[in-house]
Amino acid sequence: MNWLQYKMDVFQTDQREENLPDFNDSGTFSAVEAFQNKANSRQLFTDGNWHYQIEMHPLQDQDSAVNILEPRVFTIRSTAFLGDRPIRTIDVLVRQKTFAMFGFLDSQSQGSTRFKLTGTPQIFGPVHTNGWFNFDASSINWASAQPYFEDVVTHSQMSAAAPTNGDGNVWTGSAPYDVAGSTAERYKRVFKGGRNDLRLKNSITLPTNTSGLAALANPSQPNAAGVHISRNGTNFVNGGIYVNGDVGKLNLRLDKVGNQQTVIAQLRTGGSNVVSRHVHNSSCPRHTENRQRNVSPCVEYYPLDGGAGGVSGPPAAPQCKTWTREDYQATIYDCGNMPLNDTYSSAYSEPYETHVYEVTEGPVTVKDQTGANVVASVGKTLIVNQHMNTQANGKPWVVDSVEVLDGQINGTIYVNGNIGKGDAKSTDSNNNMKLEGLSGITKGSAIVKANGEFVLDSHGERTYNNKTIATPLTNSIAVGGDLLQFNQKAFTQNGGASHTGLPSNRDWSTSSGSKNDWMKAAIDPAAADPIVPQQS
Amino acid sequence: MSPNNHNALGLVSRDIWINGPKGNNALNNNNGVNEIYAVALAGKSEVDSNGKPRLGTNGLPVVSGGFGTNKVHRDGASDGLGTYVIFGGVIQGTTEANYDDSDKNNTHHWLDGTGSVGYNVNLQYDIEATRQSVFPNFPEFRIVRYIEKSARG
Repeated sequence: MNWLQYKMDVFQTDQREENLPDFNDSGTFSAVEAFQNKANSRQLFTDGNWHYQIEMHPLQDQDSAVNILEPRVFTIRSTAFLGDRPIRTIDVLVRQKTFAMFGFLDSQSQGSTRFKLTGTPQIFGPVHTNGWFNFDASSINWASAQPYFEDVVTHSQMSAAAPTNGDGNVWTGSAPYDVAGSTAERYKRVFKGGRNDLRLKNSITLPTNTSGLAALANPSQPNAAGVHISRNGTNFVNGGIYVNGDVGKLNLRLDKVGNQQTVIAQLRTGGSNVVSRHVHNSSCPRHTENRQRNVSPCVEYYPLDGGAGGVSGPPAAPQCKTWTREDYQATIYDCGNMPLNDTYSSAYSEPYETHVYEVTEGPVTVKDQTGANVVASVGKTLIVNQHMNTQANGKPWVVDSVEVLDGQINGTIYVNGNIGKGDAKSTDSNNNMKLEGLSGITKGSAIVKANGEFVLDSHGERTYNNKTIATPLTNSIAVGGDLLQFNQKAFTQNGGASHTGLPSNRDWSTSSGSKNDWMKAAIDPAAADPIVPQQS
Repeated sequence: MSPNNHNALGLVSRDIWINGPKGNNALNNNNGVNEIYAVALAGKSEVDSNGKPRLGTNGLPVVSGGFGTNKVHRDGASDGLGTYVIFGGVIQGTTEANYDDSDKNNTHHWLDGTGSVGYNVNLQYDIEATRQSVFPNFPEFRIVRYIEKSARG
């Protein structure tokens, strides 16, 4: 396992596929084979009659089908031999850890991670900090409190402020230990597993980039602004959704039969207007003329006044009567026949929207730019590009293009820019485009075979890739409202939802249905475990 | 909680800002609370010009990014102080300012100790949301199955 972790550590730093432990080189796992040969040549038993044999197998097919972001899974078999006889075998299945396993992870290695303990169960998943914790136990009742943490809690550093008889973390109020050491009963009031659930662990390094996710969304990552869906030579989708440029709104919707509809709004150059402006002399036609002008030195002065007595001041400076003349070329502007104003071309921005339909439940019909109906049947991906014509009366939306592709997107949506604006309100607009950021109802992306058929599991049910929405790690996502989760059971029981045409499914009050339409299609948050405050 | 992982959502960015409407029933499914079903990874390890991890004065990796409220919203009368509920998980770099941010007030605020700044964020763990097919991993392995047995036929 140490070798696997080392190899994945190298890969995480450079994201080079050939550094993966299960890199498939022409049908062979060359790195695994090299490791096995080396490990099996080292026999550590002092008794020469004993030796062991290690076999390691990546759980992927020989075509290297898994993507570089999928957790790696390996089987490892170690067999002990006495002479030539196999004696004992250990079979282990190991799986790479994912950041998604954490209920909460704080990589704040510069300081402490603070929790205010309430005496009630509030965190149900693993928690980790690369620093140390500051547990605020000032309001806890040690006699009756229930464990706040229901899973393992780990930290990578020990606080210098923690007493030597403590656990390395800072406790505000009273601590679960005294000079004699830890008090088991108190730790059980904070951690479900008692003191054993609070552990020191090596630090966890956050990713340095998301290039793997970008490649998953689109192998070629086009430079042009807009929404790009990669397809092969036969128009079969072979990626996710790749967006170049900032996105004002990314809304995940459902249509009335349960197809996922992703709406992506961007501000792009819509065209140019002819704008009037005042004409400056420099814009007029011009010609030159030979002229003369006065220059130094003075050729002749006026005579000085001789004076008639009386009080006088200092003698006056002589006044020049005739200067030296010089020839020069003067620029003459011929503005007599020019208008006072002219026009120039000025570019303007307009909202553009791309609607991507994952047609998995029922056919979708839309009108194209000519007004003709376009039908996308189940199994297809429908792409509608439109923009708001801000120059026309009423600013109508105009369809620019409609495309129908075979197959389904793989669930990864990569925006090479920002989604929404963190420092703007989600109700703000920019050039007629709302800055709502990310919101909606998420539905997984159905997995399809190369022939377009849905991939089914052993129960005959469809299989899905989860949705992953990512940006470069220099950008941001603004969450502008609810991000609910599609629920097939609710959808089926309620006869489906009817959300087509909603300006945004975060804004139910403007829909033709009721505010509670979302309950027809999503998990009801109120039906989940009690909601209690967690961190302060 | 989620019945399966089919419809799980993963968010990956440097900063994940929460700036939804506060206590607005019309914009919040009639309950005035912003609900997020997702695992959110908001953060990065900083690298130097050679692509190597940038280390701080304490010898530890420098991180940026986080999950929280932008400073312009955190104490606005109609912006901050709402409630978000996360059904999933939060992985974040820091609650402090980003490494390359010249405005060091630009922190990632949850509710502070005074109860007057930022959003109140509640966490609900969702085991199905951890089973995402595409999400960043880290170089550690866990033993899923361990079987020890005799090798003698």
